[in-house]
Amino acid sequence: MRSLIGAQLRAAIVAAVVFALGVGGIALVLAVVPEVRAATAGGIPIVWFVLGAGIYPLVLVVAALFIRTADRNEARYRSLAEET
Amino acid sequence: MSPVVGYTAIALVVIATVLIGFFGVRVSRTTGDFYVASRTVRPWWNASAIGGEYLSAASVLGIAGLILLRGESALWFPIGYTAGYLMLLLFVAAPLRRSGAYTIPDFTQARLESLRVRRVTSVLVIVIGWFYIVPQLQGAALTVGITTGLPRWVGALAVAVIVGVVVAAGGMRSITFVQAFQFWLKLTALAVPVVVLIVTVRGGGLPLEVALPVPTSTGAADAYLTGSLLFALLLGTMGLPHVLVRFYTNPDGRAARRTTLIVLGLLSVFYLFPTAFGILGRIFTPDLATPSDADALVLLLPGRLVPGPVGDLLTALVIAGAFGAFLSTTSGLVVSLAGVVSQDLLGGSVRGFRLAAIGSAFVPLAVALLTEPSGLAGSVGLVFAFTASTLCPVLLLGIWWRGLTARGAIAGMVVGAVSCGGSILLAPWLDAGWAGALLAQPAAWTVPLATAVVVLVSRVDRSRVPRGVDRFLARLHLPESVAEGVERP
Repeated sequence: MRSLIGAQLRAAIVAAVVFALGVGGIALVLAVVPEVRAATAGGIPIVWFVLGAGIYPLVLVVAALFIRTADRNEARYRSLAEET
Repeated sequence: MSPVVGYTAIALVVIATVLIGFFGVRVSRTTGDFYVASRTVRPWWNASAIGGEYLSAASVLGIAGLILLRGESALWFPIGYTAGYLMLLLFVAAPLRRSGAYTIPDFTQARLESLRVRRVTSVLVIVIGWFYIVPQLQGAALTVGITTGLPRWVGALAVAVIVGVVVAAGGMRSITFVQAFQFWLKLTALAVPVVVLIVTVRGGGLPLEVALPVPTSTGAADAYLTGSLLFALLLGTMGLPHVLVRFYTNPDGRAARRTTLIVLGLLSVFYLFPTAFGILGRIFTPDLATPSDADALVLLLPGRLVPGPVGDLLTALVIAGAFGAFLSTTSGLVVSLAGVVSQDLLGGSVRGFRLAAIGSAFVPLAVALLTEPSGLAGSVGLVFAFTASTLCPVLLLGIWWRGLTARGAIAGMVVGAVSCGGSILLAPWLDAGWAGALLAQPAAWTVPLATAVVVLVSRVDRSRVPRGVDRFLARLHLPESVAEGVERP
C-alpha cells in the first residue's frame, strides 16, 4: 500500500520536474540567447510563437506519459494484491 | 457598434441559459445526481463541461487584454492556466475522485476527522469563491457598457440576478450538458473571429516591429513577477471551489485522469485564440492599450477590422461567448459556494441552499460595484495566488503525507491566508521595485511559507495524527477494483 503511494508520488514529482525543467529551459534560452530573441518568422518574433503555442505540446506529452506510468503502477499493485 | 447587436447576443445567451437551467430542474434534483450521471457521461462531454466551467472572463477577455497591454510577459498567463490542470492531474485528480468528497471542506473534514478544519476550509472556500466571482461580474459590467451603452452596473447586476435566481430555483446543479455547450460556445466565439480576421487582414505592410517589439533584457524584479505568477497559477487551480465537484461525473479514478488529459487538450486549443486576439490587437488597435480599455479588446476588434454585417455577426458571437463565460463560471462557483454555506451555516436544507445561493451571488456583486476593476486577468491571478497559499498545501499534504494533523492544517491555512491576503491588500500602496514585487505577486514565498508551517506544526502535533489515516489514504490511492473492504459512499 505505502509502496503504491510512493510510486505514484514519484511518478507525479518526476513529471512535474520534467515539465518545470522544460519550461525553465525554454524560458532561459529565450532570455539569454540573443539570436533566438532576434529571430522572426513572417515578421513575428519566434518568442511569441514559442510562448503562445509551443508550451502546450510539452504539457500534453508530460500528461500522457504520467497517465501511462500511474496506470501501470496501479496494474502492478493489482496483480500483487491478487497473488496474495 | 450598433446596440442592437449587443442586446440580441446577450438576450440569446441569457434565454438559452435560463431555459436550459430551468429545464434541468426536472432532470437533476440532488447532489446525488452527480453519481447517477457518473455512469452515463462520456469523458469528452465531461472534459468539455470542466473546460466550460473553467474558462472565465479572465480567459475569454482578460488574456487578450493583458497581451495588448503588457506584451510578451502576458503570454505566460494562458500557459499557467493550462499547466494548472497538469498539476491537478499529477497530484490530485484520481485521489480526489476516490476520496468520496464533493467539496474541499468535505475532503479536509474526512481526512483530518476534525470539524474545526472543516470550518476554516469552508471560510477560505467562500472567500476564494467570492473574489473569483467579482471579476466575472466586472467583465459583465464592461461588456454590457460597451456593447449596449447601458450603465455598466446593469451588466453586473444582470449576471448576479440571473445566476442567483436560476441556482436558487434549483437549476444549474449538475447539468454537464450546459457547461459542455458553454465550452464549445466560447471556443467558437473566439476561434471564428480570429480566423476571419486573419484572412481579412492578411498581407499588406504590417507594423509588426512596433506591435511586437523584442524587448531588451528584462529586470530581475520583472522575472520574479512572471515566475511567481506562473507558480500561483500552477498550484492555485487544484484548490478552486468549482473544480473538484466536476470530477464526480467520472466513474472512477482512472477515468478522472483520462478526462483531465482531454481537458488539457481542449484548453491548449482554446488558449491559442485569446493569444491571437492579443497579437492582432497589438498590431491593429494599439489605441486600446490602456488599463481601462484593454479588457474590451476582444469585443471591439472584430467591429473595427471587418465593417458591415459580417463584423456585426462576429461581434455578436464574441459578446455571446463572453457572456456565456460570465454565466457559466459564476453559476459553477455559486453552486459550489451555496453548497458549502448551506451545509455549514444553514443546516443543509433546501431553503438554506436557496438563501445561500442568493447570498453567494450578491456579496460579490456588492464588491464588484464598490471597487474599481483592475484588469480581469490580473484579479483572477491574485485569487489563484490566495488559493495556492491556503488550500493547496493542505490538499497536497493531505493526499500524500500521512503525518498531516488538523492543527497543522489550520495553522498553515491561517498563515497562508494572512501573508498572501495581507500582501495583496498592501501591494497597491508600495512603489515598484523589490518590496512592491514581492507583495504584488506573493505566491513564490507565501506558498512555501504556508507549507512549512503545515509540516512543522504537524510534526510537533505528531500524537494527533488521525487514527483512520491509513484507511483513508488507501481509499485515495487504491484502484477501485482492489479497494474491497474500503468503505465507499
